[in-house]
Amino acid sequence: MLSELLLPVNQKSATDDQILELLRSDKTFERGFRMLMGAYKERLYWHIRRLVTTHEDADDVLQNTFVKIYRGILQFEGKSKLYTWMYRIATNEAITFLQGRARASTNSIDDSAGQLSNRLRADSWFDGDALQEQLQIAMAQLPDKQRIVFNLRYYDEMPYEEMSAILDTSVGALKASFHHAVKKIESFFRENDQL
Amino acid sequence: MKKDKLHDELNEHAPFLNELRQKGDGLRVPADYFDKLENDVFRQLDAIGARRKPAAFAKTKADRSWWQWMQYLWQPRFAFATVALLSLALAGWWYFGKPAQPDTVAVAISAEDAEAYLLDNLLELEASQIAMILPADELLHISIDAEPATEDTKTNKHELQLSPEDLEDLLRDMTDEELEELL
Repeated sequence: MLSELLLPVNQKSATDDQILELLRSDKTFERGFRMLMGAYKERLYWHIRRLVTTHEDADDVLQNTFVKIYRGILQFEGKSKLYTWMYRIATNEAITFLQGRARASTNSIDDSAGQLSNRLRADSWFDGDALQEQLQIAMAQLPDKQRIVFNLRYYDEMPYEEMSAILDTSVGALKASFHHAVKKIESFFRENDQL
Repeated sequence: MKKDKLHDELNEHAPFLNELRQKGDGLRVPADYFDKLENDVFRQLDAIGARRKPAAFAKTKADRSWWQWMQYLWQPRFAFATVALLSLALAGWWYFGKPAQPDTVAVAISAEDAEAYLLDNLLELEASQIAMILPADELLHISIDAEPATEDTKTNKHELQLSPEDLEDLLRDMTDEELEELL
């Protein structure tokens, strides 16, 4: 038992198998979950942050994501990789959040763009220039699925095969989604005389 | 390799986005955010009552580790019981272990007062009590019958046999009232 408690201190170096082993026992569950958070919190944060844009929103969504993971980890059957399973939960949480925000707002696309622009300027954790701000606004106007695919590909450089496992979509459909997203963003910049 | 594929892909469809990508996204995060995140998540789990309870105490003694025993014994009820027992033991030691203070009492009563008291209550005293207060040389002349008192000797619970000299001394020291009362 003592040896279990003395597993690697560096959480980032813990393997999925080590984490899952700790999670199987009541005695080491909490330590295992802390290691899981340590290993994946940054990746999941940035994935969520790029979808919801502001830090405050990303923090809320990430905490909800970890609560869901905590409650459901014992049902994880190991049919997929651990991070694939967690990315799926994080993505669903982010989409639910965005849909809730969209429902709460009855504004037009232009107004939504204006709101996002204001939020970004008010967010002390965004220090991008005008072009980076325009890119965030352009991404926010994409349909949810295209937005996720664009983020995973553009920022995380995630291979389509991995994306396929997370989003449960064929590689061909993902490539098409990415292509459409790129064209829409390019078109947004052109319309705003940025190109 | 992966990066090159994305680079080519973007260059083919949107070279502008490829250049913009090199600048980053402009998003930052508070310096200590990730350090505090784990505790924030556990606080939220506590708030909604979803946090798993620590491992249950093993049902059989053989399964219990020394650490579980420590946790078990460190429960508030055992701590309170230990404190209560120690308090009782301390109180008992203080009460019963305190030395008697007969000297103080003896000093407060003069020899005359003691003698007067004994004479006043001579008939109330047991034979064994009289034996305790008499000097050893006088005690040699006194035999105390330890047999239980019979009905006809009820006034003196134990038969007391005094020598004629002892009796004479006692009677001489008695006042008239005491003699009247005795007779």
